[in-house]
Amino acid sequence: MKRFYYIFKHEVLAFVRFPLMIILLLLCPIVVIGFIPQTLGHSIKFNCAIVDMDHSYASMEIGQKILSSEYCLPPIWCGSVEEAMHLMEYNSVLLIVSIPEGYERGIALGNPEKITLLADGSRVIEADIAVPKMISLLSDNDASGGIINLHRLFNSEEHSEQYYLVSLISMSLLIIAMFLIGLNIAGEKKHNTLSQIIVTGVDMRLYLGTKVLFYSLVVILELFLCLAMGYIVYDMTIDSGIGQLVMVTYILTFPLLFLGVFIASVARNDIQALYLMIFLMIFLVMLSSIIAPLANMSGISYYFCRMNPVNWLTESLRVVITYGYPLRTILPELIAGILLSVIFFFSSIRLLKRIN
Amino acid sequence: MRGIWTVARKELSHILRDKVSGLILFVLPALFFISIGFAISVDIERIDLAIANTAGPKANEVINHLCNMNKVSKVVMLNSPSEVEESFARDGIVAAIVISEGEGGYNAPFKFDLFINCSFATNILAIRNPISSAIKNALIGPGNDSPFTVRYLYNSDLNRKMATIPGVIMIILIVVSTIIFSISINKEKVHGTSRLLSLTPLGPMIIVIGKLIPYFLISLIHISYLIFLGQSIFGLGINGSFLLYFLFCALFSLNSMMLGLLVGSYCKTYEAALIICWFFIFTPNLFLSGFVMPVNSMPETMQKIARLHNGYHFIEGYRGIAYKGTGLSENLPHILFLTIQSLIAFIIALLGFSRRYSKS
Amino acid sequence: MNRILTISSLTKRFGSLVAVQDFSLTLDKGDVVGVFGANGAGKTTLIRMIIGLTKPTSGEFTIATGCRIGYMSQSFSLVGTLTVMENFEFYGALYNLPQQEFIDQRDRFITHFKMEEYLNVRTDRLPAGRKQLLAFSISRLHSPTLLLLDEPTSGLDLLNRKRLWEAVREAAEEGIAIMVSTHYLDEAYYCDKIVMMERGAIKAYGDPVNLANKAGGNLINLFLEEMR
Repeated sequence: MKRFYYIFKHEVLAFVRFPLMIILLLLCPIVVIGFIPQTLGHSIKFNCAIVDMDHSYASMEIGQKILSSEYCLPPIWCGSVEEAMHLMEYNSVLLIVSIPEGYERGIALGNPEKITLLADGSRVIEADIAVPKMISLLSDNDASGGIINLHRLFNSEEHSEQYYLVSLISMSLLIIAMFLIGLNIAGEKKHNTLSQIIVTGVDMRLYLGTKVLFYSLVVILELFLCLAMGYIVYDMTIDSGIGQLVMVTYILTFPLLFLGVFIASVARNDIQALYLMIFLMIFLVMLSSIIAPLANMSGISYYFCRMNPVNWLTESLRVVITYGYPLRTILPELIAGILLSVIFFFSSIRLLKRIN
Repeated sequence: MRGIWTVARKELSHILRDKVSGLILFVLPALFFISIGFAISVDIERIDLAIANTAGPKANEVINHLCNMNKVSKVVMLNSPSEVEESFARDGIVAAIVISEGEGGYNAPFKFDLFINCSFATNILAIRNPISSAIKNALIGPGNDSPFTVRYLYNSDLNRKMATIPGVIMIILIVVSTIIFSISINKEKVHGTSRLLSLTPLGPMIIVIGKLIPYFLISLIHISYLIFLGQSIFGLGINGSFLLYFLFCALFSLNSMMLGLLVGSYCKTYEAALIICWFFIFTPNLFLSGFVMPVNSMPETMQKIARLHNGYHFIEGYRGIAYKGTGLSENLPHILFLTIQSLIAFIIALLGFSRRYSKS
Repeated sequence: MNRILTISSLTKRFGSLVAVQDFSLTLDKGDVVGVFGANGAGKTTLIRMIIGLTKPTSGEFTIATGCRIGYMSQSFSLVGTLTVMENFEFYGALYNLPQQEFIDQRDRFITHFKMEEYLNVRTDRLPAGRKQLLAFSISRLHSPTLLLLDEPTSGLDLLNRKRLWEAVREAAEEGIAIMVSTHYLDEAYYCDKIVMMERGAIKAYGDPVNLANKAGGNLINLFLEEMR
């Protein structure tokens, strides 16, 4: 108990006396939660050019529809497709609506000419969203002819903020968990303090366990900072209880903490540890559901994502914060998190004991 | 020249002798490019669907069309509509459709209630549209020509990798050129070798250029094999001038290094350099460059802030040169921005270096 | 039981590099053995093997039953962000010392090395000499029977080196077996026996006075001769 107390005290003092750690703890919620979601998940307003070769009342109506649409910026009228494409080369327009000559006459005859939509394919996401919206706008209906009632779950306003807020909380916790403990252990190896500690005969399980316990509490503190920022800036609420959220975060943060320890143990020096942490962190973030949902992954990426502890954390946070599902739906992730923590824990101890 | 070459050679041998760091610098970016390039997709790749049918066997044709839809990976048949909500939790589905009796008549034999998990907004259309088409095809057949002709310029088959590859290249170059270079610059100060260097006749500019050269060469190597990988694995060639493309990527790399140099010159420890680079360069560029979400989807103020980031200009310029085949004049704003930003960062960094080397 | 440490043919290879080669030595209670050698001679590797931080490639060493080991590394191994007092408390707890024993030992070293004015100073802000003395105190906190000191005097001025060696001799007089690695040949005369290492192998071993006499009255001659 006494050893536990002094090891814990050592971690607290080392943490509060290293201003960079406090800065990191505060920067995460401010930058990642406070600032980044402002950029995400709003409806795209795209700019388009109209090439009117018909100069008719019908083509004016099309222009009017586009002008009054909430998705389009005021269109640019061009004399030719070449002129419009020139604008597209300068990224001034995303979509060109080309109304052919004889369009109105064709409507009157019951055989209208087709309107050509030219989309900037190099801006894939925008084009993919803009084209169906334009079609829907100009044809006044959707593909199903109005027999489908659409129910939007978890996000009624086409904003992705809720999705990304949870993702970004998960990313913040990953950064705090891996960086703080990884840098701490790398520093102890660098200053040879770890050798001295091993020589004292202290049980490395106790030493490492206490260290990880301390940083797990720091991660929970970070969670609350992120939730507070989410609430203040975005009115974010938690669908399930706060107790469930803390429990889920606590369990699923341990694999990330131990991963940070493992990397610091494997690396020969602190610079290597930093490089490894940077690349691994980016891999883990990209191959999880932080940037894009699981449904967007195919093949081996999908399975890697399912095995990624960052994905477990992200999806579990989503279950608790956004969906409000019962915890039994994430039982496999919780068990996998515990197992992975145990594996990394014992591997790290073996590595730290035999530093050479 | 000799001074620059001496410093550059020392830096290069330092990089190459540490085998693990060498592995990280040379091999990991390639692995990263391939794995992330495949993994990140703007398109929905799997639709896990649940269907509850209360309209009886006559809806079987519709159900068949839904089950045979492209990208449907799992179909869960529910016993009743009340199971829909539970199915989202239990089965991890993205959409559920309840088929019930319609108002009657030829035109409305069924009623469809489509429930979509909209927590990721840009996927809504990707889920709704194929379901709508499948229903329409089942009810009235695939006939009825669309009144629109749609062509995607520069990307006729709408290769979705075009959306992700520039972002992945941006990330690799920022990590190597900004973060790793910044740590390397800062290391000199931490290890005290900056004091030694300050005693040599080499000025700070010579030292900076000497340190820059090996990392710049490494980034050129990255750019070269990323072009090759992009072409061979993802089928993305370069429609514009290859020379302009290469020089543009090199400019971005140099720009990233200048930012790394700026951070490394002023930070006291490399942990601090890493944190500054991560939170003020990497993370904003990841989200504000247009890689994750289009810049046009952001609020006005954020769009202005996005345009101050080098990642935004890189992605815009990259798309222009590589995909649209545009030239210097169309991409001049982006080239100018990157150049001016690099110069400003270099000058401020040099001032910091001069002060540090003269103090120590 | 006087024999504290017995090393037999201890060897350590890192790939093709032989760091320690066929090293044999015994250490009794109260002995001070100095291990001398140039950089890369294998001194630190030898000490790390005895502590258990590095696994030997071959050979063995035996430590007397119930023996407690104290260690002081080249880089002091202190926790930089903790104060002098907090370092004592931290290591005292890790050594699992009974409270009274810890207080007695701590106060003894604080008084002996005149550390009173530095008790609340962070160790990363201490001068090098004070760090050395603190690290030495911590290595002795749990009353070890075997003390391994890895270049304890490197970077110290003459006065502080003398101070540390006096502390080493006092520890030896209390019956602690001590192995010290060092560069400074003038420190040889503080030792009962010296070992000269070159590329992991023992080049000379014995009483420093005798060895010096054999080399024309100067150990430097012997050192240079053996290192050729």
